Amino acid sequence: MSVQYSYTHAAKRLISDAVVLWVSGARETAVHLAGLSAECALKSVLVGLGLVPVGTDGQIVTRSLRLHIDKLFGQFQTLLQGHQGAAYAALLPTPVPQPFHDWLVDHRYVADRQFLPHTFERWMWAAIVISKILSEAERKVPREAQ
Amino acid sequence: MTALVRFDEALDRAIDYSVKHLDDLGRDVVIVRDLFGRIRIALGNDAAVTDELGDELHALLGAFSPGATELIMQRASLLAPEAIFAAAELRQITPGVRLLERWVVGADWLRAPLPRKQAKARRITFFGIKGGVGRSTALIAIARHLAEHGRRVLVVDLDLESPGVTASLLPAGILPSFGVVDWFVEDDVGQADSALLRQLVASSPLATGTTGEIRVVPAGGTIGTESYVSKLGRIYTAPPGKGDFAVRLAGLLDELEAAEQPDWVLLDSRAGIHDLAAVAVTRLDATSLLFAVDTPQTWLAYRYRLRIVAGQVPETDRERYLEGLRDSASVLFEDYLYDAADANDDDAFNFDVGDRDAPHSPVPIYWRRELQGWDPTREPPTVTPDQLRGAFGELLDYVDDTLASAT
Repeated sequence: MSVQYSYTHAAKRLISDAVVLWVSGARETAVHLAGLSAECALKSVLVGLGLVPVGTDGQIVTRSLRLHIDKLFGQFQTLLQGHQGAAYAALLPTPVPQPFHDWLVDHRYVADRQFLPHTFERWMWAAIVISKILSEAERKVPREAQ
Repeated sequence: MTALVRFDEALDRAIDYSVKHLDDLGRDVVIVRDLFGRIRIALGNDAAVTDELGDELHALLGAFSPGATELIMQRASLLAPEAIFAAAELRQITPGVRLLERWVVGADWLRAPLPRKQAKARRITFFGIKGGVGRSTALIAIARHLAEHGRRVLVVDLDLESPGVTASLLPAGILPSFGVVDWFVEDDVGQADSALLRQLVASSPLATGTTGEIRVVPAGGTIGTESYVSKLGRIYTAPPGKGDFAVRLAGLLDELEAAEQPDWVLLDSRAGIHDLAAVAVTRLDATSLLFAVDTPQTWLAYRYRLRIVAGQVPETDRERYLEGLRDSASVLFEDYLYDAADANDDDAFNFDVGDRDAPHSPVPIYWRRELQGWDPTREPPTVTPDQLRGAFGELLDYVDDTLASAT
C-alpha cells in the first residue's frame, strides 16, 4: 500500500496531541510533539512556497537530512523574502537565539526532570505560535493545505 | 559598555571575518542577510568549523547575530541549498565570498529580464531617479515622432502611484473604461479576460494626421475612479499559481502586445527606487532610458541596455553642463556598472569617458519655455514642430538610429 504524506496534516495533528498531553501533565512528551509539529508546519510552508521539492508521495526529497526544528528554524528565516515571506517572518517567534535552539529530537529518550519548567513553556509557546504560520500558509498557498 | 553594532557595520564585519577565515571556512562562503538584517553564513564546501569561529562571528555581529549556534550553516545540512547557492540575487563580494540579501521589496533590481512570448515590439522604459525631469514629456514626443513615421505605438502608464502621461495623451472623453490597476484586481480572481483587455486601451488623438497610431493603457480608467486607491493597494499581491508582481506585469504586457501588435511599447515607469521601477527597468526586456539632472544623486544601475538621458538641459552653457553630467554618470557607472578597465580584455564592459556611444554619455533634451505646461492634444498646437525638434531632436535621432537598429 502506498502511503501519502502531508506536512500540513501532521503539523495540525501533532500540535493538537501536544496540547492534550500538556494539559494532562505529560510535559516531556508534549514538548517533543510540539517541536515535531513546528518542524512540520515550517516544512509545509516551504513546500507550499515551492522552495523545497517533494516526491509523488508528498515527502520532501531531501528527507534523509533528518532536519528538525532546532536547525530548520534558522534555515526557514534565511529563505523568506518578498511580501509573502515578510508575512510569515512577522509571525515567527522573535527571541534570539530562536526558541528551539536547545530542543533536540533525541530528548524523547530523556530521563525525568531534566528541564526547567520555563524551557518546556518556551518550546510549547513557540510551537503554538508557529501553528499560526500554518494557518497563514493555508490562506496563501492552498495546495499545501489540501 | 560595548558599542552597538549598526546594520552596515554588521555586514562589513561579516565580510572581513569571511575574508580573514576564508581557508577555515572552505573558500566558498555565502553571507545571508535575512529580512530582519540578521546574518548567517552558509558554507558551500561543508568545512568543519570550530565553536570558537562561530563565537567570534557572534561577538562581531551584535544584535544582527541570530545566536552563536545559529550562525554557520553547512550546505549538506540545508533543506533547500539551491535557494542559497544558486539564488539569482547572489552577489560576488570578493573571491570565495558572496552575499545574498533577503528583501521585502526591491529584489527585482537584482533579477534578470523575464522571457517574452513574442519579442516583435521594441520596448522602452522611461525612468528617472527623481520626478519632474521631463520623463513623460519625452515619452509623448517620442510617441508622436514614431506615429509620424507610420509606427504603431503602445503607451502603458506604469507610474501607478502618480499617473500623468495618460492625461496628456487621452482627453477625458476618450479614456477607456479600465486601466492597469483594474487588470490586476480582476486577475486576482481570474477575471482578466480578453474582454477586459480590450477595455484597457484607447487611441490617442496625438496621432491624428499621422500614418501611425498611438494606443494608450492608462493607470486607471473611467470606471471606479473613486476606488483607484483601493485597487492600487492590492496590485502587489501574488495569488497562488500566478507568480509575483513582475511575472504578472510581464504577462499583461505579453497579452497587450498579442492583442495590439504594436511596433513600439513605451513604458512610463514610476520614479525612484521602487518595486515597480525595478520591474520596469530590469525585468521587462526593455531598453531603459534613465532621466537625470546633474545633481549629486545615485541610483542602482544595471547592464540591461541602459542609457542616460539628460533632462531639461539649461539654455545657457549647455556644453559644460552636459560634460559635467557625463563625468558624474561616468564615475557612477565605473563604480557600479562597468567592468574594471583591462587593456588585455576586449570583451570587458568598459567605456572611455568621452565615448559618445557609452551608456553614461547623455542624450540631451534641451529645456524650452514653450514646453512648460505643454498640452500635446490642444488645437491649435501651442508648440511648433521646430520647437519640439529643438528640444528633443537628439533623443529622436537616438531612437531612430540606435534603438531601431538594435538587435
